[in-house]
Amino acid sequence: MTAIGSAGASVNRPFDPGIANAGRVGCVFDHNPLRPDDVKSTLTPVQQGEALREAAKTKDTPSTATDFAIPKTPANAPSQIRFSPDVQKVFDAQWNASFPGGKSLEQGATLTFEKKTNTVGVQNVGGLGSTSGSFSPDTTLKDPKKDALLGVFHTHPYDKTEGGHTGVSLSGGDAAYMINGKQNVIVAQSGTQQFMFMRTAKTPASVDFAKVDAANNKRIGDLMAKGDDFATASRTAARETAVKYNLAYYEGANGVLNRISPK
Amino acid sequence: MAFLTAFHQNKLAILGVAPVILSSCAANSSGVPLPVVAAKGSTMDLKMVRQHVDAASVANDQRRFADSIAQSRAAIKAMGDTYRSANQIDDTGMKLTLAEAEAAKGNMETAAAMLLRVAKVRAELVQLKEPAAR
Repeated sequence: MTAIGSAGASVNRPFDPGIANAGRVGCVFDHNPLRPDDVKSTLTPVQQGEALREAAKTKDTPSTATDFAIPKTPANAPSQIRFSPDVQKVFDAQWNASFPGGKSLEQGATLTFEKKTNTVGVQNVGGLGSTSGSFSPDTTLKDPKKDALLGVFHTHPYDKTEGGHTGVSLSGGDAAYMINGKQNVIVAQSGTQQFMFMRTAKTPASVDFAKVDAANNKRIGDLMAKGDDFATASRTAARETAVKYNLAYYEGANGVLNRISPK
Repeated sequence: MAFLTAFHQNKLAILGVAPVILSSCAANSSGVPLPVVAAKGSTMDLKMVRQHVDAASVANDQRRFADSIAQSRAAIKAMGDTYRSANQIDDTGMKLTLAEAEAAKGNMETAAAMLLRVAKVRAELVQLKEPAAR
């Protein structure tokens, strides 16, 4: 794991620009040009942060690190997240690399941001290794002075022998990894569809990995037994897991993800 | 099955698995079946897992999908959560859920292939965690 935020900050802390979580465990991001301290306003820090977040956004502008800052609640999370075309190219390349020899093999990379510019980027493509159902991210930053950790991107491939499913959302294991790893987001791509959990200040600091994963999988199984297809069931379960753990949940494609939960 | 030790037969019975001759340990150079000797410790547990996985693989190749499923389930059950690492994104549970849903629908070939894949992946992850168990 890598350090995020102000100099001397310890490792394994979620990125927190101080907009919504004063006093909460997490690093203060001292490179944020939109930091409330820099703005003369009568608005509360939370209101300032959200207003600035919205104001800084135009339709096609990629989201910056500010957009990935830990919101106070799921409802305070950005309504939309846009990854840059360069980042999206990496996502698509990773998806296209997820079926070597026709067999599923998860791929992924580490999501970072440049402290100076707030630009979101990708490092450590391929991570430390993967299997058809797991990915080991490499969260060691290439230049910790310059960059900071946001989270992890990975793919959810299902080859022909597994039914060739696409549109398969985040697992309970994904949620637990992000929460316990103190990361801000986790993103998955399955076909052209993309999914993201974003932690909030209301999210527990840690969870029982096995319990979260098992509950999510049970819900998928129950939904399938009632007739839902696998992908649909996975999305419903992911949305419900997000509610349970106070995460914001996003779905989208081509690098544009809209908040699905809360609506 | 006389070559199996009582201990091992008991282990298989606990897992609800019919013992089978395994391809990887079925015979020595003389072609005589070798006993599977179970012992305490994770290394031996992993051996048992490998035996189930091998048996599942053989059964799958022979299109005995019900047998393959039973062997893969036994391997997965034997491993439990031991394959997990905190620094790893684990989606194998979703694949397992899908495999079981396919089995429930009677799609045995798909279920067998997926369960075998999950069992192999988790065994591989156990090995990565415990190199000494190789």
